[in-house]
Amino acid sequence: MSLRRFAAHRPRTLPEKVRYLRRLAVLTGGMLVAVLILLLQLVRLQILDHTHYHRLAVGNRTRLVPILPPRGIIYDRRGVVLAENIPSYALEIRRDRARDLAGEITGLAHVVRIPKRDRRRFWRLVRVSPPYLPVPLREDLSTADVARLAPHLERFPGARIVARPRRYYPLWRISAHLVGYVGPISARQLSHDPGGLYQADSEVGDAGVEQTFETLLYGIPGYRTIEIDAQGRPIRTLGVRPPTPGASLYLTIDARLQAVASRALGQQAGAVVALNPDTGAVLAMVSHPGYDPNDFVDGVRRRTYEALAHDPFKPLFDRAIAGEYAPASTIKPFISFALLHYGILTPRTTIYCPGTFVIPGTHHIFRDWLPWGHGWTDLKKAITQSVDVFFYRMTFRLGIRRLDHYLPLFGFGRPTGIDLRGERSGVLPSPAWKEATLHRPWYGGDTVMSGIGQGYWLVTPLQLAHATAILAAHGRREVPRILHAIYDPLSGQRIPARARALAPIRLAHPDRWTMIARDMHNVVQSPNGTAHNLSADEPYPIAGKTGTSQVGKYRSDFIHVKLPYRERDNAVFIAFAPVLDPKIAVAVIIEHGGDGGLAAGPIAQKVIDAYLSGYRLP
Amino acid sequence: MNVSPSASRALEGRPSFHRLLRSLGLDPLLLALLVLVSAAGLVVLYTAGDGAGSLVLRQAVRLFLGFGVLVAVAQVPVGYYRFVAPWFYALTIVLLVLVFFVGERTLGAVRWINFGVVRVQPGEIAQLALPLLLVWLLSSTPDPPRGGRLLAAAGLIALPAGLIALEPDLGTAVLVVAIGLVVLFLAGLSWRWIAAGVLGLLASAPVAWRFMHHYQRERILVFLHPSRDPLGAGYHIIQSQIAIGSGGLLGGGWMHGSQAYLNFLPEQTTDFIFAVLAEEFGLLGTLVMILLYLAIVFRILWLAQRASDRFSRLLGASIAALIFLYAFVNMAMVSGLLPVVGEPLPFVSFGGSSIVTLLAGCGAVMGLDARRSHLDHHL
Repeated sequence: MSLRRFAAHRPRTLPEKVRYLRRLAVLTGGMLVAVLILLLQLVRLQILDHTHYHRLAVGNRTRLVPILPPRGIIYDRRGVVLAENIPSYALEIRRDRARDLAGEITGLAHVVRIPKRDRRRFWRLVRVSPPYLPVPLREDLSTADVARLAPHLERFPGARIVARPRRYYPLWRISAHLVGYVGPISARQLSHDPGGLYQADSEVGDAGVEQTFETLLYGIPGYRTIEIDAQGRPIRTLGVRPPTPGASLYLTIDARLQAVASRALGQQAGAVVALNPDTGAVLAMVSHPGYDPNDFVDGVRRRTYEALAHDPFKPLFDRAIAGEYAPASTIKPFISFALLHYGILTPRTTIYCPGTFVIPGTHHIFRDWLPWGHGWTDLKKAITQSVDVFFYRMTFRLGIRRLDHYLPLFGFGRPTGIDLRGERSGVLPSPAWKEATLHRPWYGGDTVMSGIGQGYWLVTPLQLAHATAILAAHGRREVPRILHAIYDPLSGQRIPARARALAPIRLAHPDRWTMIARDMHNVVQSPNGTAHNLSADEPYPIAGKTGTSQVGKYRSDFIHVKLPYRERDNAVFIAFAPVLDPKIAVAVIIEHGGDGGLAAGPIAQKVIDAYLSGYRLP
Repeated sequence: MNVSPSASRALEGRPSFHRLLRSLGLDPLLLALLVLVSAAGLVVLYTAGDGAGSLVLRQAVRLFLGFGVLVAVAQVPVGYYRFVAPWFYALTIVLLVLVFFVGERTLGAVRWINFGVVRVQPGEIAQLALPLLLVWLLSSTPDPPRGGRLLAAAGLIALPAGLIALEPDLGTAVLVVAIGLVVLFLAGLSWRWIAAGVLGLLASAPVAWRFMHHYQRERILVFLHPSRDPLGAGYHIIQSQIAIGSGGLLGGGWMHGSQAYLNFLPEQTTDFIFAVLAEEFGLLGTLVMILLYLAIVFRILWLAQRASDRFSRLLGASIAALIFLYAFVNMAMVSGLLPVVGEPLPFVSFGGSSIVTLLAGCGAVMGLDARRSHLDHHL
């Protein structure tokens, strides 16, 4: 078996075979090196980086499908439903089942009407949502639509009819601004959703309570873990985590009172705000004209929205918290407290009031609403008859600085802090404000006009009601609030909302609260009172104050002329009742309503009547 | 049958089945290894094809056919190869030309000819025809190839490789060149030529780059940076690495490879079937598979080196190298070591041409071994 022996025998073949074997050895070595490299790579992939690739593999094949939580219900304080979820039928498309998506949509459109708006939305959602999620094609199908569709569904493998909750506002326009509405989430809102709570077809609160308490009402979505294949088709469900339903809210308002206020306002543009002076609870808050919030659910139709947006009466505008009006004479009781506080006058101070007031050293004439004046006038008479000259002179003596220092106590010039978005702060006139806003210096005349709630004064109906409530509650300052209680559907607990209060206003002579209240009672009660028209024999006494704010140029109100609507005065009225133990404080503003006592007074009275007669009942 | 007396003696006392195989000129060990790999392939193919039995059945039929060809080829005497080599090569070239005229176009490349009953990929046949012809050419003398003979060999390599590259099927073309070079190497090509060739290859790389198709360049770029195009060209390699990596040491178990079952893995029944194996049977499975291939290759090399003539030795070693090249290139590609070239895993990937070609090669090796002379047997 020796190679050498063979070499001797066959000298020509042996070197060839040796060479061959050598080459074979080199080849084999090369193969082994290659296999070693391959093995190292496999060890790297399967052992060293196994965890990494395993995680990638799991991520590859599983997806989370959100289960949207049911939205919380909104009730009034007695449990009357203001916003609820009603079942509604929707036509949705499962793309993984549909063979020819565009063809199916066209086919379905022959069976049931699919508006262009819905189709656009459908294709937008198809673009943005992953393939394993169904996409709604048409929402809110009628039972007739469902019946018409049912026999055809077999032809459209991707289509199915599902019951989805739809938001419904049973009070329609009565609660429009207050409760607000939900609408389809916008692309911008969706991109500002760090928690990933929303889906492209989610609805989100867009106004009022629905917007302010969105996080409470919405809840926390659950999810299904599904396994998908490479085409994104769902294969099976691996696990489910149920959603946490949104909390239900009880509002402080009384739906009945809300309806009364709304009916009382009728066709007029304006706002009514009623507060409970003891708690700050909003009992009614109406802004007119309103709109039907149900139009906004599932997205408002363009034509409806244009009509609302271009309406000269601005129905979308919430006058109750964002409308800013001159308070006119309704500011006088509050200024009275400043005058008393700084000792400008005492309850017994009497001055002579002619029909005009002139700042000493000038020639500018400020006129009373009664051209021949009121004669000798004390504070009681000044409030009862709303004597302008009295307040001109006294406020001029008080000075704007002290006025600006005292009146914020009643909440003027700043938001009340109600738990609603969109509240405006009004304007408490001051030299600093005028300089900053109008870039003009403050004149003595500006102070004089501020004394009767004109000039630069602006208040919201809510601010006015809040100030009235403070007066009625003898200085207690409860922050107005709309949230009464939160009902947590998981624990079944009803958690009362916390009241917030500011430090009360303390007077050196607390009896003056009652004094001013009696003076305001006189406004209604006295035959000379500016709201004497309300003085029917009531089972309870009402304290009130009228205001008639000039919108156009200055002129006497006494000479009644029929003016064009836009130039008519705004009617303002504040009231609380019963005078000595107030349960309700109301502010009413009617745009271009004319005389405050005649136009706004009866509305406040109806609200108070409704509340107190109900209040007395068990 | 020219079974040598010593072989007959060695058969005494062995089981009759073993004797039957021997009498057919088959090598029982190599045959057993081939059957083992093919069977393992069918098991993996069952999951890769989503548990569809029809795929496995079709593959089984092909394997059956392949083994039939193996047995048939094993009966062919050595002299016959010498006679048939040029004609086989010529036929292959004709088919390679024909593919441009009557070939089936898939994904922008023509690689298949449909003969009605069978679809043939001439590129695969060339991988057997070329080494056969080269071995025929180079075994006529015991001297290392040089001069005119070397030039002729280079031309014979370049012709089919060029035609295949034009299809375009760069992966197969490179494999054809590689197997041709292996034959030259085994025939004793001088190291000087080898060094010159390597240097020349490195120098021509930029030129080759310019002549490549866009998708070919993209494949190489993606090979270097798979994340360059994760859903496009890089998708294959990323998904296959995920499948392999998620297999771990022992794998997810048969029928439990989620990547394959949920179709994340592309070409899972053909070129990427190794990833399915890796996902379901882990490192252990891949190790066993690699060892099986090595066993086959080394068995063939063993049979080749004990052959009596230069022709048989060279042909045997070439076929071993061919199987190794196929298996290594495929596994290296699937695990991300080489660019995606689209070569099947021998005996395992779904598809007939490669199975029949390689089993025919194995049959030739067995036949040559069975007919070696008595003298060489005692070497």
